Amino acid sequence: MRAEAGVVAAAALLALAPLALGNPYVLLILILANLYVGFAASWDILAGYAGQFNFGQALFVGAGAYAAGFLAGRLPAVLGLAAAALVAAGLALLIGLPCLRLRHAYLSLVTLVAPLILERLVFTFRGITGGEYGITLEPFAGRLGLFYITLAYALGTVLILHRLGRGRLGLTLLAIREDDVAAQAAGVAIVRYKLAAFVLCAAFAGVGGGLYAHALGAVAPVAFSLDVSFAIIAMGAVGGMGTIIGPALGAYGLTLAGESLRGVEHARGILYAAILLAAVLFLPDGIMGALAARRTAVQATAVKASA
Amino acid sequence: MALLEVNGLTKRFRGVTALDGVSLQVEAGEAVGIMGPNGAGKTTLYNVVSGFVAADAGSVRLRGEEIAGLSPNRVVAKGLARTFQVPRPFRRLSVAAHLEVVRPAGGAPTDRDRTATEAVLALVGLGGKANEAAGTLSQGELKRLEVARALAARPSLLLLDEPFAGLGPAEIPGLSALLRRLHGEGMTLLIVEHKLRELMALVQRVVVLDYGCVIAQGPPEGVVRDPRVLAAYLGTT
Amino acid sequence: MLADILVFGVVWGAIYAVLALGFSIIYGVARILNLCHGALYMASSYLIYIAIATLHWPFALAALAALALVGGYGMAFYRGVVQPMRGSHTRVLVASAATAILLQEIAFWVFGPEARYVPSVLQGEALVGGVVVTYQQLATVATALIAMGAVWLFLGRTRAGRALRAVAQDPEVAALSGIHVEGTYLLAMGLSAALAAVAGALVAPFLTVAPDMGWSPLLTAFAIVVLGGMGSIGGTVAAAFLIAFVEMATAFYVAPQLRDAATFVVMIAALTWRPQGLFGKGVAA
Repeated sequence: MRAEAGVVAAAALLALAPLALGNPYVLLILILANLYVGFAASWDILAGYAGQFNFGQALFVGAGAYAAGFLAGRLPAVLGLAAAALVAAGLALLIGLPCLRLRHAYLSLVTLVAPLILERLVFTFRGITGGEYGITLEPFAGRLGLFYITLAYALGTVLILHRLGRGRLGLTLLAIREDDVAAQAAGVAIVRYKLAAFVLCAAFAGVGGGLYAHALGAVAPVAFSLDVSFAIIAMGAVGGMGTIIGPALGAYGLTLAGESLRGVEHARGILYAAILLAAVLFLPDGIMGALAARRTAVQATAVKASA
Repeated sequence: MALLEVNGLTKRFRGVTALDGVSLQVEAGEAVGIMGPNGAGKTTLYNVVSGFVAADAGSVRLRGEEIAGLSPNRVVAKGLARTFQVPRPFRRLSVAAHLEVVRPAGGAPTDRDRTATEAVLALVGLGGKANEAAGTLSQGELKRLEVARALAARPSLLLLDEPFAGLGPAEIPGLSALLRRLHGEGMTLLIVEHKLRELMALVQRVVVLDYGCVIAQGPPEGVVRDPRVLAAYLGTT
Repeated sequence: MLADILVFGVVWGAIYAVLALGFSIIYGVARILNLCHGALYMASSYLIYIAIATLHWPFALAALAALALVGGYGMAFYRGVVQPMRGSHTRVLVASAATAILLQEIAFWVFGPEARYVPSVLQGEALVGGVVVTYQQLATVATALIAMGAVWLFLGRTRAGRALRAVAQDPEVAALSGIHVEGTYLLAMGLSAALAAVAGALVAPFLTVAPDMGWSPLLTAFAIVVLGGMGSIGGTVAAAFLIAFVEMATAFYVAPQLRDAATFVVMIAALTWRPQGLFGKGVAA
């Protein structure tokens, strides 16, 4: 599969990056980019395939981060990450069961505010969560090790979800996105499928959240922030929803672009919001969509030319 | 035991009574037409029978089993499939994909068996278009895709909602032949249709609805001459 | 304690009712779940702050300016952003969210994260039925009631108001009766934004003004609309006071930060078990 081969090749290239850029700060940026690839790709299976817009991916990232953060030092990191996935998936079920039945706009609003609520809970139970100071933890690997692990996470997430997307699950989700009434008339149990997409999205994001905690050595309520959720949406929208690979590209692109603005407070937030607005207005299918459209147009002209 | 038994079906929407105690039966192997002026409740009837709308009262039995209240996909699993008056394609999916998504009666997913898909597409005359995006099809082709998608569910009973609406004179004979062939092969059909000539060529019996009530039933030639039916269509009280 | 809950419940109920009414109008008429509604409320508060702290305008003038600017912005937003994308609900949803974040980030950039203070307009308090109530609180509730009354009259007695109701019922039928549907959507957006502005103006003297102050009220407005506020002003008002009392009770008896959690739980419960709302006219699933 050409696209997947491309992804593996890109990952292989990235694997060589530390040799060229030994700077630990740059390594951290790349780690974050890797993580955002996972966040955006998992977001896409829900938003791009099932058509359910999740405005609060940070909920799963943060939940995974806190879960792994608590268990760091108490359990092996692998179990901590598994717990992160389970906690995030559990939240997805908790929210999804009542809300996926509803008109999809309502789910969007619920996902928008859910991280806010969790943030409040974190502040309220500050004895356990450390409140605004959060918790610190001993990362289970050094920065270089984490770079490779997060790279593997990004690659794995993209490949697995891309495969699922091309398979029966993806097809069914796309049908639900196109017309869920027609999908039901075709015998599809739409709630079950939407829930599956929601849980997948949450689980992969949760694992990434756990890795995020280790990468930073700390977890704070900022993990639930709207900025995180919106950055992910911007990455997905710009990259091209419904492709998994598009959002992965968007994640790398926007993380690196965002870094260049690190100096100016909130400039990054404005950038992401403006990009998102522009994407939704002018490029609704993202870059992947624009490329696909150009390819189809090129093919059409080629056909006409040879006719 | 009739294949489909609808008894005393009632549905009200915000003060409008769309269905008022509708009862009808369809035997296995029959082709039955449903007629009535706009707003008579035909689509509501379909929506209730296929599980998209919950009735306020009454029952719907398929092969003796109560299916009222089941969600639409469960109704399909029981063997009842429907088309929509205005086709509802999955615009960005290919024609073949439309059939691959279907969960047929019995509930088990189809193996993505190209041969079976191709057979159904050939049956409806869309054989050459398997890989085209549904968004590029003509109205007539979309209508046939609706039928193909419903057929892929391997139903015992097929509910068609105005299959001939919006079709040009070139496209009607093809669809008519297809439906006649399906019926000939044993499929039970329920057809809502305004185009009398096409309907009468297909069905043995017609049920006429007006204001949510069954006002006449019987062989098509008799029903269309029934004064109550004429009054309903022409608007005299 | 109980007296506090009562007083604050009434004040907040009034403010929430105005905000929720705006949210409910744009949703009811144009089927737009405007995720930017909270940001408009926030923008209004900041405009009040600028007018009072920097320009030293009287409150009434500041409020009118905020109303006009935010209302106008709402309409411009509809015309420039929403209208071109009317075919796709998803895109409109995302655009409204993106705009909300954009406004918030701009507020952060211009004003910084520190909260700003808008002084009370009226000083002094009175004893109402044995409970201490400030004049500011009374004026707030009165203003909110006047605003809602004005909207009620507008919807019921004017041609434009009837157009709004007709389009909310059925846009196609409304169009057939000669109503200019696109113009009606624009009006609905302007009215909705104006109401958000009123709520923002009313709340400014009570709360600190901060860039992220819009999200909790958005949640509350949605919860109110779910609980039975759509299509009926009475339902909105009743649900608004109900939710306000729930929030106040939670704040006083449990913990102040859990107000939103309480509203969230109420909303989820309503969506799960009674999506048509308490009064039967709410948002159905």
